[in-house]
Amino acid sequence: MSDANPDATRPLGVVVGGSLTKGLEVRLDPGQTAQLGQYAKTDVGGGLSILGMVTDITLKSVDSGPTVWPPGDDEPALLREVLQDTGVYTALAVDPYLELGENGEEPARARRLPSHFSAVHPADQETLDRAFATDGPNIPVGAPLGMDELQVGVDFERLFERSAGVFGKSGTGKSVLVLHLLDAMLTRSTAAATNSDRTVALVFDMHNDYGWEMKFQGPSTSRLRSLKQRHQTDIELYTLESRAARSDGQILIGTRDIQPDDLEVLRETLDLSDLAVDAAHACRRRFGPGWIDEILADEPSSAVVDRLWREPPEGDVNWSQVAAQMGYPGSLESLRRRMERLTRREFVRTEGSQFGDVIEHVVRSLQGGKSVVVQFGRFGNDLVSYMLVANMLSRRIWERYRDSTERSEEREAPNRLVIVIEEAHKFVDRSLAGQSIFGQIARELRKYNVTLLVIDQRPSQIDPEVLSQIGTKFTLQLDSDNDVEAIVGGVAGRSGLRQVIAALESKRQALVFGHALPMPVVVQTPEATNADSARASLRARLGLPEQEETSPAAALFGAPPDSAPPADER
Amino acid sequence: MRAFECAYSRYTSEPFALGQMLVVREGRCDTFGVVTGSESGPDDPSRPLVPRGDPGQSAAAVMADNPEIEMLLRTTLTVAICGHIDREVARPALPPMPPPLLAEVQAATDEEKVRVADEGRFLVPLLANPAADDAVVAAAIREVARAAGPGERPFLVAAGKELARLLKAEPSRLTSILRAVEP
Repeated sequence: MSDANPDATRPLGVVVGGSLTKGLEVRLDPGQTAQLGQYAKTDVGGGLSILGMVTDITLKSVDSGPTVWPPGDDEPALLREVLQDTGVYTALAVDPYLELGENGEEPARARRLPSHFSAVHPADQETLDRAFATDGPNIPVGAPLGMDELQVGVDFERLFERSAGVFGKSGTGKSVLVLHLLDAMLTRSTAAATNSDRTVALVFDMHNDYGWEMKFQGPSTSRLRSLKQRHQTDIELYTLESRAARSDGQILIGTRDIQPDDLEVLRETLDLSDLAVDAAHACRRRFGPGWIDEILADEPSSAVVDRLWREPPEGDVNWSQVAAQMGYPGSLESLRRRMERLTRREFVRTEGSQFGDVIEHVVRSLQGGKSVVVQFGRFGNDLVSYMLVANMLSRRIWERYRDSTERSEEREAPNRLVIVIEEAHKFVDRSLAGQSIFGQIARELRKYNVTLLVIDQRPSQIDPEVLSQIGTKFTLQLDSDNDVEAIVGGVAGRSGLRQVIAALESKRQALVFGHALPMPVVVQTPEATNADSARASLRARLGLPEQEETSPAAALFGAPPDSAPPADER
Repeated sequence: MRAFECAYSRYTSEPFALGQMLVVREGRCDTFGVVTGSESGPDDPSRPLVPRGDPGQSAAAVMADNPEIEMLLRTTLTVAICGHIDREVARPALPPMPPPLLAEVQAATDEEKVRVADEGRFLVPLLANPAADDAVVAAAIREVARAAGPGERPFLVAAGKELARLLKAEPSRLTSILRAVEP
């Protein structure tokens, strides 16, 4: 059943049963084939047709005879041929999703069924265009299965107005798909009239994929031009490394910038106990913003001693005495060791505050209509670094966006921000979702104009409440049943979708469903390419004119004056 | 209505074959049927055929030595009706009237066989006749398939599928007939 439908003009088969809740049973016509995830349509009368998706394919027999006594190898070939589609046949389960009118009415959820023996056809481009019609631009996400010449697009506005997720195991094409989505976002945003109309991204780029170039294993090219090369004036690259090429700035964190709240999300990766985190809060309360520098000193300072004892003990005070006095014997020492390890990183500077400037720069870029990619370079494999920076930066930027939005009656609301995080389950697992800023962003939907684009291999590890707030899900191949179940949980027709996900191929095949689409679709995701023709096609799909040449001046000096941030935000 | 009998004017050693499609072109329509049985014997049952000839002598030689025997014997056929052509429309169904008595029975042409068989639908009336046993059905299918020329294989498959639908409760019979069609 894996071949494409050999004759798209012929019916796939006829309806022989079904229900609205369990889907249609379609008997496949002799000689026809169908694929899981393929679109099929059938008329219901009154000018209405139903568009559905093949969610299961079953081999059936009309009675037990052929299956109890199947033809053996020594039987004539005619017997096998005759039994096909008579004694035995193929049935399709088709989940009906949309009702489509012939006069351009908005597609509605399917609420009626075709009659018995209605012919079921493969969907054509016209049907898909009606089903996926959007008021504004849409981002092409690939060709539906078995329909290589057709294209499906997701509604640009709806995709980014709520959080979205790209899920799939390693090597399935998540990064290329995310690059495609971000490229489309930036292409569209660049053409927006004002900064506040722009949608910008803050990308925490774990493996240096979304900055200058993406390295990947492909048939034709191993280096793909990434966002900075495609949108030179609309991207700023930040890095954690001090001497990184093509960087617009370095992310530096002072020890005075790190708050105990920032450590909450690092409990697991930094192996911090609850008591150690409590000790951090206590230290911050007692020793002030410089608490980390204080506890990293070899001996407790006089300031520490003064804050803990009205009358200091005789002789030199050591850290064990401090821990005992604070009520955290053991935990404080554990916290000190971990803080020492944390602050060894080159982007963490002791005895100072660095982060304010970084935040200021990043927020100015974002609200000025530029997207920001934070590249982790050699720290990409250091989950502690990734989580620390992503969490700290996101928390503070979100607070700025929150403040801007709450004051938006006085001023213009900030533009829409999409925060892109990888390994999302580390930030929003069941134990952390309450504390993590990312859990909060997902739950608050678009309240403060900040949404998430999460990239993850293990969606089952993400807090279900957070996962349920992901509006649009791009699901590539997943291995674990738990992961598949987590993705489709609470979705209508989830048993069918579960089957579809289980049958996805290992590369470039995705089930896309949710807020930005009227119904689920299985697509062959766009190929990784540097070809200009693909860029031109993307612009056309987004409703934009042919790309204008970027002037050298614009490339050097950034966005033109009319898209610069308002003066009071600089 | 489901069958008719026909007879040669005398004995023949090569009557129409089992499963062969015959036609009666008289009456309200042309009536088609399939040979389900053949029998030769004396016209007068009181004068049974007694052995003749010498040991080692062939039947043809015995007949040549005794030419009167052919006059006293007769070959009869039973034919199960499988369809008709009424005003150029072929229908794989029983005709409204039986063929008239004493009408001439002929072998159907290849084109008629294919039209009346209608991709195997002639098996519906044929299987409804108890006289059409497995061997007859298999022979009838083979006969039409040969007549279909280049369409032999598609016809075999189509007729087989029709047979599968009709015999869905008898898979072993289906198997046995198809084995006989394509050993």
